[in-house]
Amino acid sequence: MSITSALDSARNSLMASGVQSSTISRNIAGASSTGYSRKITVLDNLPGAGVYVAAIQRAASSGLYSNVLTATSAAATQSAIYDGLQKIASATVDDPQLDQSPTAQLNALKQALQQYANAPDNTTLAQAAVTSAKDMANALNQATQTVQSVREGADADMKTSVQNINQLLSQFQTVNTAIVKGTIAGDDVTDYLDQRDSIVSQLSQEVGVTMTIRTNGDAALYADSGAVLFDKTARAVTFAPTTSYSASITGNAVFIDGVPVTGANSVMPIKSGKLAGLAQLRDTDTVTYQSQLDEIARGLINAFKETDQTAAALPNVPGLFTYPGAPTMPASATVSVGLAGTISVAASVDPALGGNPNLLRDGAISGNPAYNYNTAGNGGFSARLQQLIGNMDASQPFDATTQGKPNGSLIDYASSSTSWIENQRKTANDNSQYQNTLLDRSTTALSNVNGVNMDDEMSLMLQVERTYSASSKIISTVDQMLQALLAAVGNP
Amino acid sequence: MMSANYISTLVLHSSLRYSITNNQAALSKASTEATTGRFADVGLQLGATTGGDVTLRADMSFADQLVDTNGLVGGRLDVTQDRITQLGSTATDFLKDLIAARSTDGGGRIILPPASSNLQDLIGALNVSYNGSYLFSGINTQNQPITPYQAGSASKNKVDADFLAAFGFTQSSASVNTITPAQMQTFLNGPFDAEFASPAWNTNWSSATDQVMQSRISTTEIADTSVSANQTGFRKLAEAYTMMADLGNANLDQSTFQVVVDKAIGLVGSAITDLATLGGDVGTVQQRITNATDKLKTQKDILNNQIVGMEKVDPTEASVRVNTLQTQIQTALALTSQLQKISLINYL
Repeated sequence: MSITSALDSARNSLMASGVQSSTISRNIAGASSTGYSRKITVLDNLPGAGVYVAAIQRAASSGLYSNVLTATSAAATQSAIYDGLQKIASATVDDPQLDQSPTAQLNALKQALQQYANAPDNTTLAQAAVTSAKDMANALNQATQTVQSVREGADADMKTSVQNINQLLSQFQTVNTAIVKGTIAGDDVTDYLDQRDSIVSQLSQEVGVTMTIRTNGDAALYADSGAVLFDKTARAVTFAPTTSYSASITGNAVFIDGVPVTGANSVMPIKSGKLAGLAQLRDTDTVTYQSQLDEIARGLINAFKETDQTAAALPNVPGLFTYPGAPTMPASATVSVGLAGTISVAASVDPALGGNPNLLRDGAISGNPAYNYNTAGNGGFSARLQQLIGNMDASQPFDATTQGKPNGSLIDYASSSTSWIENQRKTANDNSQYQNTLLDRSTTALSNVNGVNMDDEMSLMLQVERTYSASSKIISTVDQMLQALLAAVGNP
Repeated sequence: MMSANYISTLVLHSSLRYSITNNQAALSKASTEATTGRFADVGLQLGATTGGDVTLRADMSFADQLVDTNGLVGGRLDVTQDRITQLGSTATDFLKDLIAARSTDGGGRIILPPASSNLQDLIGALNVSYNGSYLFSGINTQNQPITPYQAGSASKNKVDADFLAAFGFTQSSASVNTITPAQMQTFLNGPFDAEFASPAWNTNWSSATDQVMQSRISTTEIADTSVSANQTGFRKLAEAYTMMADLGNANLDQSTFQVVVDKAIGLVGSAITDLATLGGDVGTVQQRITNATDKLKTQKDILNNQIVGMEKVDPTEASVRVNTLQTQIQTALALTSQLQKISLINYL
């Protein structure tokens, strides 16, 4: 009977409108949260019975979503590197105007020597030169400390990052299970899907990640290197932190599911995310800069070395600048790991330690008279000092693996080191800005696809309201019709 | 609905946020640059060329240092030159006196006071100290180069001993008038000359070294910047003055006295030439220092210009940037509040 059918259709329409308005209110509630994706009520028609809610879908774009993940990871890598390099650069170079760089310190030492060479009998100038040498050694010691503390910071951040990853993976597991169960049961899992996406977004901050969707909405997660983070179950990400660093210590690798993913021996090295940035900072950038500092220290020891002044042909020995390995000279053109942290001014020249600053002019700082350049003890003897100034300007070989100038004066090498760190910082900063812009664009594009427009939802609400009132009107009309019919039939 | 025209409310309301934070960071940078005229973060801006910048700064400050030390070296050489000139003019006067005294009766007595005072002057001039070190000491700058010529000093003792050994009596003895010109000639050219030649000179008269002070006067040049008291000119003067002051000339026979005077005239004449040459050498070094200093100053200016060129930001450009950014931020803020008002809710 068609009147009953009209009633049924109107009733179904009311039901559908109810679901539609509930979807709209969910959308409005989620309009301002970043991870929320718009829900769409899909209506369908049954012949003769009117509309029904076929499904609740979510607006999504897997392509744009993976762009966002990639940009998030890349931005996190660059900003982790930039932050570390920034700390080092501001402690060791800072504004060139402030004359804090190793180059400026070396030049200050050269100037002090020049003043002393001009009046070699002036003990005050001798002391000033020794003080300047001590400043130089201190600056290298402190730079080493700064570099190593940045490595310690990176290591601690890696630990936090690994904890975050494990926590996110266990949340992922819970949500993923709910999705699989819900999908099999035919429930609305759209909110769970949002939640899962948001967990993956957070994960992409820590490590570059790709998600593959399989049957029943089940997802597998892989790190950008291909290491499995989640497949049916969460895989363990492990890392043994190192709390204290020196130049000779190599940090531990991060393992995903037992496979090393950072460090020199990594099988599947991760490429992006905060974790990858921190690992690069800890294992590569800081290590290279430390080796440059070590080469500056070695260059200093070499420039101030003393040669045998007798016919005995004794080997060269460290002079003004010395280190725990003295009296052997450090190997030429090879990094002595950690030398910048241990270089010091010989106690025999340091007036604060009871030494004689005039040994700088005379030689035999090492204590052996064979290395005395000024055997006559003349107060105006300046040849050795002129030689030292000349040595600072003379070209010497440096270890090419440090990425500094392989051949040049000590000052040139120190400048090339400054260039290196500032260039790394500039590159990291440029990349970071580019990736952040890209992230902003990708996020905007994604939000414009899966986000909520309040005005659109409101107008949709008006539409639903009209449908609802029209359907109600139909029900009351049908009711009146039936009433009229019953009145005509029932009351003779 | 997923058309290019669709925009989510979240994006609509937050799109300006990114531009505001970005512009605020740029504003802080631009205002620093406008006030200082240099890049806000020089290292970040220059990147790989930062090393060049710090090298230029080091070169500039070393050039500055060399200009300072050249000033001190210049001062030392000025004093040296002054002393040499003085000694030269004293010697010239003395030469005139000698020529006059040669044929004068009692010339030995007349020439004695200027000779002994000139000897003291010579020793005093060579013992001059400047800024805590002795100028004519070579590199033995902590010790007075010339031993004073006085009773008991090594130099006088040796001259006395030589005289006694040659003639059998002392200079003050009345017997000096018995010395023949030939005997005197032998004495002067023999043991007396030897006193003013090495090694006796270096033992009895002078503790100066032949090696002189060397100073770096430019980044590459090292110059000899002092004069040693062992220079032949000084020795000849010392010999001539000693000869005229302490060989008992007053009582010598006239012909023997003339032998002494002739020798002294020869020595002083040659010493004057030596001193003139020495003064010329010192003048050359002074000229080199002046030239080096001029070059260093020019170099400093060039380096400074290069540094400024590398680090400079046009302050006008930077302040224009500040204004533009301010306008942009104000517009963005105004738009944000305007956008908040656009909502269908307000019209339902």
